Amino acid sequence: MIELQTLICCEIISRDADTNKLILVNLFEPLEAEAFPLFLPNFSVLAHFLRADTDPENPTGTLSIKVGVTEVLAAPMNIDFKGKMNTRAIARIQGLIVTEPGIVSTTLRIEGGVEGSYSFTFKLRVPHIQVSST
Amino acid sequence: MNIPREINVEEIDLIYIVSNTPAYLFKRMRGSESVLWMASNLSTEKLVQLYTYLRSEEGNNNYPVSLSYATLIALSTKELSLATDTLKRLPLIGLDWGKQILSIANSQAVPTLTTDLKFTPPRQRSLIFGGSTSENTLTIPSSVRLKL
Repeated sequence: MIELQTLICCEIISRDADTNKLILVNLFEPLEAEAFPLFLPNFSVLAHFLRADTDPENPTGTLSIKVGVTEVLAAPMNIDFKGKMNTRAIARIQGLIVTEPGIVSTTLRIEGGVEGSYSFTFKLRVPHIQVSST
Repeated sequence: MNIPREINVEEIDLIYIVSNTPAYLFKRMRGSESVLWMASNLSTEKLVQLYTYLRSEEGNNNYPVSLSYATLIALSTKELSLATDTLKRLPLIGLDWGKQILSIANSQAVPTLTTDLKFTPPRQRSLIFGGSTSENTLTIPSSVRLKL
C-alpha cells in the first residue's frame, strides 16, 4: 500500500538541480491577517510517498484545499514513481484566496484510500487601539 | 589534470580504507565534505571529465582509486535523469564496487514531479443556484462607429 509520508504546505518550494535537495520557504503556520478576503500569491504543497513492489507506479491523487467548510480548490495531482520506491510530488498553486478566517486544510487523497492532510488557521487580527489622554 | 584543492584526497582515501561494504562507502562518502564540495561546485560535465581522467592510465597512476569512487558518488547527487544517463555511460573498469555503488545511488534517487495549478475563485452561491444573472449590452450607434 502506498504510504503518504509527508505533506507540507509552504509559500515556495525550490529544488536544487545539482543535488536534488528541496528548499522550503515560509511554512504555513497559524497566521493572523488584518482583513479578509486575503490573497496568497504563492501556495505550494509538497508530498512524499513510499510504495511497495506491488503498488502502481502512477497512482491518481486528488488535491483539495478547503477554507472552513468551503472547498476552494480540487484538482488532480500527478504522481509518478518512475521505477523507484519513493517519490515526491509538488503542486504550485498560482494564487489562493482565503475568503474568511478559519481553518485552511489541504487534503491529498490517493486511490486505494490513502489520505493525508495539513491544516493551519487564519485569524482576524483585532486592531489594537491605544487611547492617550492629553 | 589538476585536482581542485578543496578535494581532500587523504580524507577520501581514509573513508575508502575503512569501508567494508559498498553501502558503507556510499554513506560515508556522501557525508564527506570533499564529495559535498564536488557535488555542489562541479558540473556534471566537469565530474565526468574528472572521472574519465582518474580512470585513465595517468590518473590511475597518480591518484588513489578512492577518488574515482568519490567522483562517482558526487555524480549520483546530480539531478536524477541527468545523473542516471551519465552514470550508465561511464566505464566502471577497475572499480570492484562500481556496479553496487550505482545500484545504491539508483535506489536512493527520488524523482520529483511538479504540477502547476491555477486557482479559480469560487463563484457566489447565488449565481450558481439562484439563477439570477444579468447581462448588460451596449449598442453603439452606427454614427458613432463611423466617426471612429
